[in-house]
Order: sequence, then structure tokens, then C-alpha cells
Amino acid sequence: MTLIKVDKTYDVKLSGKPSLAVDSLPIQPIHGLHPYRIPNITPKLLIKENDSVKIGTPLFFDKKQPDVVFSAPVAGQITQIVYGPRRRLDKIEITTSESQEAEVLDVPDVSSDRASFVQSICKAGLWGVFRTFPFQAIAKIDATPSLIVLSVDNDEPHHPNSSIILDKYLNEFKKGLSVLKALSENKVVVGISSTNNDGRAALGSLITHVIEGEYPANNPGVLLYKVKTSVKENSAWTVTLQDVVRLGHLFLTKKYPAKRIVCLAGAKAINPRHFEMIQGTPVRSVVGDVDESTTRLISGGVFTGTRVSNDDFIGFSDEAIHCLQEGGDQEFMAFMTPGFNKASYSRAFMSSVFKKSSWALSSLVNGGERACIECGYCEEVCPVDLTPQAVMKRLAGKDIESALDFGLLDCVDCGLCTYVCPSKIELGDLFLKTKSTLLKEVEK
Amino acid sequence: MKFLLKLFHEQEKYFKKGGKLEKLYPLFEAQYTILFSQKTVSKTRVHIRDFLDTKRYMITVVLALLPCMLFAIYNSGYQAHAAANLSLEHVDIIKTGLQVYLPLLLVTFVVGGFWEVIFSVVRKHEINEGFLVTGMLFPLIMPAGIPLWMVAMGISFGVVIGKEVFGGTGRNFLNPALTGRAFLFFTYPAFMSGDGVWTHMVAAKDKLVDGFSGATPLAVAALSPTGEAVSSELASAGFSVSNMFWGFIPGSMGETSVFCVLIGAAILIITGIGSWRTMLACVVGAVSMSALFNAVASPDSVAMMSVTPIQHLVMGGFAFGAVFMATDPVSSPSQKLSKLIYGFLIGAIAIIIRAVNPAYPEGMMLSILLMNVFAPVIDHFVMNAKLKKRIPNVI
Ligand code: SF4
Repeated sequence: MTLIKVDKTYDVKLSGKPSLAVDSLPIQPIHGLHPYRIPNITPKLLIKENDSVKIGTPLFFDKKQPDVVFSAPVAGQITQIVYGPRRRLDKIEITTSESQEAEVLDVPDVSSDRASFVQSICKAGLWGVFRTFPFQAIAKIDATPSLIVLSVDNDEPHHPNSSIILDKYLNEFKKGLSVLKALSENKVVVGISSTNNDGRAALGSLITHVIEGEYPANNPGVLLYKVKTSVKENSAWTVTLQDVVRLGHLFLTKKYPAKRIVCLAGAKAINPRHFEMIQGTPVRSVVGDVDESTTRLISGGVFTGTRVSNDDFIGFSDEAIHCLQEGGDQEFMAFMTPGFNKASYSRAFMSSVFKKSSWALSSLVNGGERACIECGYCEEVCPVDLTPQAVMKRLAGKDIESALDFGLLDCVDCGLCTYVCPSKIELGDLFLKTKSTLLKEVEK
Repeated sequence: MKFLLKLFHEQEKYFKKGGKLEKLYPLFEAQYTILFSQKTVSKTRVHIRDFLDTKRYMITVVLALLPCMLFAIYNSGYQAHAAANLSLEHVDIIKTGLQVYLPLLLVTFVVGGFWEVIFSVVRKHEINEGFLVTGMLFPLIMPAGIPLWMVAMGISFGVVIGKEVFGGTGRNFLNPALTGRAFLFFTYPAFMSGDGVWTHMVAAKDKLVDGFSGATPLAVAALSPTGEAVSSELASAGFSVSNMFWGFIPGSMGETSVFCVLIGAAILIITGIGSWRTMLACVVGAVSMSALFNAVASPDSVAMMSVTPIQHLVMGGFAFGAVFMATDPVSSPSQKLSKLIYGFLIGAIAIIIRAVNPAYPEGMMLSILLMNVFAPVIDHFVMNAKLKKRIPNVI
């Protein structure tokens, strides 16, 4: 067990942290999937409207790798398929049936040969859980990972508490971990937060690294940056904690693991807590009725999440729904006030002297977009030691090559640089977009 | 305030894209956002944002400048009255001081602001708050006796050539206020140096008190016959270290009081807006260089070489430059190590210029401008050294 210290991190102390209570949500009349929200795939349907499906029936596949399918989390009838702009596959709705029958999947033992082993994960609709660095593309099924990086805790505000997951599914997790080890010839890094005492006790010697630092120290990309020793490991794979559990579940039960732990969080959430639910549950049944003009619903955390609406469904990789105050009052001469109630990484407000224990922030950007003033805050919070403003300037000058030399591909998209920038420059967005263009070129 | 906010909401459409007054959007934006915080919400996946914006950033610098500004008002009044043997009542002094300072400030903001607006409108970008600081700094580095037309010339040059031709705030590599001052210094030396310019003249020349010289400590030290005599020359001109520290002496309006500069430095360092590394390195550079000069000075070397480190720190524009000019984030390097190198060189070179070239007694201004030019180079080397430690991640 190695201790890893990540110096450049930051905790915004966001309020609305979910309590440790876990509510069990029953199956809902309608469940749904949003293929377009799964990053870096080109989804293609395998079913049509009115088809009947069981739990684990493949619904669509990724055109880039036809063996990679995504399956139905519930049994029932496909009642609606919705396309968005440019034939984007937006939504598949399943009306659930009384009897929840599941496909019986053919899952070999972990010790069997690699090809059949990989195929069974693909057929079960779970290969999509393997993401690769640096572009977060789905792993190639015929590749052997140089390293698999797994971080037990997700420290972005707010995500499910890992001890709830480990408490409920410790066996599944252990089984899943053995799957990872079989896939990678034992090259698995398991990191856990130094503050997670329960998890450390539960996992014991399975842990390889203990991580110290605020957000995003526990991000798998940061972990990789800290542990990698060679260029080869730049293309390491990563899986989330819940997905390891899912893999374990699959190998233990030979059925599609549709259960997830999802937390409801945010200052505007009513009774923020955890839920055990089936994938594809409507967001509304977690959040309740909210006015979306004053509450922004986010799937995931406040630094990397995607906006969702109350009519959407909890997706394939969703773990958290955040209710954030949308917009706010326009204050008179705000920049002249002492700033007791203004959260800031900088020390330019009184709030840095009279510290609050938690902050209810809003979606306001709190300033106008300006040219970079080289204040250097972005560099102070970059967990992987980039100089974001320098990378940004290289990219503005279309000099992708030196942006890469500066370490652009080590960027883990944590969003902290964008958060702290007083000039309100969308650094993270620029980096993300550049990387997705690069991915397209690489894939060609 | 509700009424005012409503007015802005109603007027906004005229200034938005496609509106009748679209071209004047930067002007509208500037007024609107000074009065009210904005209603813009985040559109990307970073859903929350820090409260710090460039307005807060710049206003903090302005706050740090306030003590110097107030002192500038008082001291220019005081110097004028002392020279002319007028009443030394506080009220009278402040009145005269305001008469000297306010027109300078006004001309700076009107003329400089004019250029800012022109360039913003042409370039279609928002007016940058950086000008607030430039506009505050500029009058403070002017001699009290400067004619207003020169202030207008200087700030125009500073804003246009020092900043806008390079693409505006953020792309300028020179400090605009210093660029303006350097321009005036080289084009109109008669108004920017010598003994006559530092005091605002309220009375005709023949009405001045006996023994009035108007010289600054730097000039006195530079003209001292021998190195050994420097301290006594300074002392007899009234420039003891403590006098120079408190600052009731002639000099550029805002720079004479090291005490006020230190208050500003404390504000900048506590808020983290100004780099303590740059400031500290400037001091270390100056102290090392002057100590070295002290050590090698012989009876026939120039008098300036015998000025002690402490005297250097409290003389002329050194402290003001180190705290408010060298720390300008845009024109200084970005890396922590670079800041140390940059600051050290500024301090050292300022002392070299003071010593070897008594014709330019104000070494600090030139030294900072010179290092502004080299800031990107220092950064380049420091960053490259840092990159060597990374495991390359390219495609
Ligand atoms: S935080 Fe923003 S303004 Fe500051 S250096 Fe980074 S990009 Fe530039």
C-alpha cells in the first residue's frame, strides 16, 4: 500500500451532501435509456418499437465495435424510441411488465480462456464499463490493458458514499476485481481515499494506493498520473466502483446486473439521500416535482455532470442527481462588498477569513468573460500539474502539438481551472473539445 | 435599485446583437456590470463558478493603492505649501493637494478611458477592468508639477502602444502605466526630471522659500561629490532614512511614502492578488546588488555605489515599483520560480542603473520595463524544465 499525496486540489464545501440513508425504489411503470449520453459511442438499434424484451436483452450496439452491446435493465415492451437532431438516438422507453424475466447469460468462469471470457462480458452488455485513457473511449475488446486504474471513492460533490456500496456488495466487488485481474494479467491499481476508514477496513490488502487530497485527488485519471511509470501506461483502462460490482454480479448470478446506488444531492434537493434502484428509473421518481427554471438538474457532480431534465431516466453510468440553484439575484455593486457570503478559492473576499462550513452555490458564473490575466489560479488547482493558461494559449494559436507537449492529454477534465478562473474562461470545455476532435482523428 | 435594474433590462435589447446600438455594447456592458452582478449562468459541464472575477481582482489592487493615493494628495499639497511658505494647516494642504491630484486623475481616466472604449468597440470585446488599475497607477507615478497635456500624451501612449497594439489586456507584455511614463521621460525629459518638476508651484519662482531645492533623494545622492559624503548629503537635504520611509519629500506623487506602499503590499499579499515572491525577490535583488556595490566601492567610484541597501529601498520609486508595478500579472512571468528570478533581476538591475547611469536616476522604471520584455523568456525556460519531468503523453 502506497500513500499518494495530491497537492493541488480544492474542496468547495458544497452543501446538500446526501445523508447515509438508503431508500429502496421499486420498479417504475416506465424505464428508459439515453444512448446519446453514453460518451464516445455510435449507437445503432437492435430492437424496434413494440418489441418485448427481458432483463439483459441487447437493445443497441456501438457501431465502432459491433460486439459491444447495451442491454435492457427491465423486462417489458419497447413503447417509444425518440431521435434527436441529426438522427441522434435520444431515448428508448420500456413499459415494464408484471413478470420481470431475465435472460440467462452464458458466463464462463474467470479462469477460462480470454476470448470467451471477453465475449461473455460483451454479450452481457457490460463491456461499455471499460473506459480507456486518455480519451475515455470504450476499450478495444481485443486489447490487453497495460494497467487498470480503479478509484474506490469519487470525491466530486456529490457522489454516492462508497462505504454504502461496499457494505451492500462486498462479495460482488471482490468477484469483479478478480475479473479485472484476469483481464489485465494482474495489473490493477486500487486507490482509496485516506479518509475512508470503513472502506480501508473492508478491503484490506486489496488496496494498492491510499490517496490524500481534496477534489479531484481520487479521480482515476489523477491516480494514473501519479502511478504511471512509462509511456505505455498512458492508455490504461479505468472502471468505476459500481461497475466493478456489476461485473462481479454478472459472474456470480449470470444475470444482467440492473441495480444501482444513486444519490440525490444539492442545496435544492429535498431530503438528499441515497437510493437503491434499477437502472433506467425516471429522474422524477428520485427528485420529485421541481421547477426547472429555478432548479438545474445535473446527472453527476457539479464539475463534470451533464444537464438532465425531470423527464429523463437514470442512465447506464449515472450515480448522482444534483439539484442546483439556477441563476440568482443581480446584486448591486457586488464587487465592492466585503464578500462574507461569497465562496472563493482566492483570498479576495472576507469569506476567506470568516470561513463557512458549507456553501449553497448557484449556476451563476459571477462575472464577465475577459482575456486571461495570467493570475495563475488555474495552475494552482490543476491536480496533474498542467499550466492550463499556457495550454489554452497554445490551443488558441492552433498549436495542438505544443499543447500536447504541455501535457494536455494528462488533463482529467476535473473542471477546477474553469471554476477558479476570474476571467471566466472555459478552459475545461476547450480541452475537452480538443480531445474529442483528436479522438476522431485517432479513430480514423 | 429595482428601477435601475429594470431600466437596464429594458435597454439591453438595443445593445445586443442585431440591436440598433449593437456597436456600443462594450460601453453598455461596462456600466451594467459595474452596477449589477451578471445574470449569466454556466453553459458547460462546470456548473458552479468562483465568485472572483476580474472586477474584484482589479478593485482589490485599487484598494491597495488607496493609502498611496491619499498620501499623494496630502504630500503634493504639503510640498507645494512648504515650498511657497504657505499655510501648513491640514485643510489648506489637502485643498491644494486635491487641486493637483484630481485633474491628473480625471485627465488620465477620460483620455485613457476614451482609448479603451474605442478599441473595445472596434474589437467588439468587453471593456477590460485592467484599465482601472492602470488609470489609478498612472497619476501616482507622475511628478506633481506635470502639465495636463503631458498626462494625456502619456496615458494615450501607455494604453495604445503599451497595450492595445498588442491586442489589449492580457496580450500586452509591457506594463501600460510604466510604458506611458517611460515615453514621457524620454520625449520630454525636461518635465520629467531635474529638480523643478517634483513640486507643484503655487507661487512664482521668486516667492519660494529660501533654500528650496525641490530635488529628490535620488538626485541628491547622484550628485554627491564622493561616496563617503552620500549619507551626510542626504541628511543635510532632509532625507534621513526615516524621512524617506514616511515620505514627506519630493518625488513622483504616489511613490514617496514607503509606509503607504507597505500597507498596499500587505493588502496584496494577504488577499493573494499580488505575488509576494515578486516583491520579496525585488528586495533581495536590490539588497544584494547594493551590498555588492558598497563592498567594491572605492573613494573615486561614483557616489551612488556607496548608497546603502536600506537607503536604496526607501528611495525613489523602488518600493512602489516592486509592489505595484513588478507584480502586474499580465506583464510578469507566470511560474513561481520565474517570479523569483524576474523579481531578483528587477531589483538588481534597478540598482545597477541607479549607480552606473546617474542620468537616469530612476532605475526602477527602466528595470521593470526591461524585465517585462524578458518575462516570457524566463517563463519559457522554467516551463521547459518542468516539462522534462513529465512522462510524455502524446499521440
Ligand atoms: S485562471 Fe483564468 S485568468 Fe487566471 S491564468 Fe488561468 S486562464 Fe488566465
